[in-house]
Amino acid sequence: MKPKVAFFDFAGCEGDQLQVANLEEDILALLGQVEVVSFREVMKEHSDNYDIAFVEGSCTRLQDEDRLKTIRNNAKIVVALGSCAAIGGINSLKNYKDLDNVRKTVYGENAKLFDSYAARPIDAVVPVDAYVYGCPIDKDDFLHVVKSLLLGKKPDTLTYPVCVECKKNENVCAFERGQFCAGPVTRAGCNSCCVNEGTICWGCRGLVDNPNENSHKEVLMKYGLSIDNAISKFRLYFGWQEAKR
Amino acid sequence: MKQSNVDVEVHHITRVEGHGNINVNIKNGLIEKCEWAIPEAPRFFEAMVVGRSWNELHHITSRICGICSIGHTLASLKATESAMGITVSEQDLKLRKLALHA
Repeated sequence: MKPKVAFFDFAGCEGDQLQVANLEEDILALLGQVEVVSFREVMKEHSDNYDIAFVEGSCTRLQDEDRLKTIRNNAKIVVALGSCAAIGGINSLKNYKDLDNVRKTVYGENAKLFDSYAARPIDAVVPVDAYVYGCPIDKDDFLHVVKSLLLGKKPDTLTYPVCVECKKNENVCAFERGQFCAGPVTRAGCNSCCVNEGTICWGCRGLVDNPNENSHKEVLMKYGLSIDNAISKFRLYFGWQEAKR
Repeated sequence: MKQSNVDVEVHHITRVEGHGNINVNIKNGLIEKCEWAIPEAPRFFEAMVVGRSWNELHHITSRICGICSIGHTLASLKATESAMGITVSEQDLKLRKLALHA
């Protein structure tokens, strides 16, 4: 019998589920291996009977924790899908600000209607079995994680930074182009896609395990960039990870 | 008019980005309740971009919606350019329109 899979979303843009919906020719192969029983973004059917739950988005409210815990109880395997679920992601930008002010800035006198706490990855609320990083996720990376899970393996996580892939792709270093780049400390797995297209690594896959901080400080010094500036850039995606460190 | 009773309760509209509920009650042909609710968690983008550099804004706001990220990117670029008095070339405009339609 095919494993039953379900997709859920919390605070996020649902772009990672869109990447799954856009798998194109690979979607038929995927559907040959699993049965999708819930996926609100693309279908109306729903069932609470599933083996693997893919969860997109951060948890940003106390009342969302119950829903997340129910999903955890229903599923044998929970996968964090995308930056918001895996590392807190861009939602964590608000964690650096006074939350009451944040709520008032956007909703004025109706702020009391909009509960919120510090944005966090889903593993801050429930145990998570596997991660698909990226904003958005990479389709091949997603398929790799699914294949590993279907084979009963724990998906391997790359422990080197984006620079490794970027060098292999023979890109001109963004620092050489006079820009700041989060590649030296960001987890690889995207094949350095943003730098390949002429821009910078924004750090969307999160801080790599054991980043080489001293080496990165040397790079910043060499190119006359301040550490404060680097930290500000890292906060686009690393907010929750910074708070944990 | 037919004196009908209709109750519509859609809990989470499907095949869209975002969570929305629809509640409609019609009694004897009269609408008693007609509600559109957005139960999802707010993300506060307007506050998140405060204090960030101008060249990060389009990247941040494109994350408002995964489906229409290009629309949000272009709207943000337009706002930033307007604030800074920048006029973009015909080539840029064509590229942006192409991105919107692709």
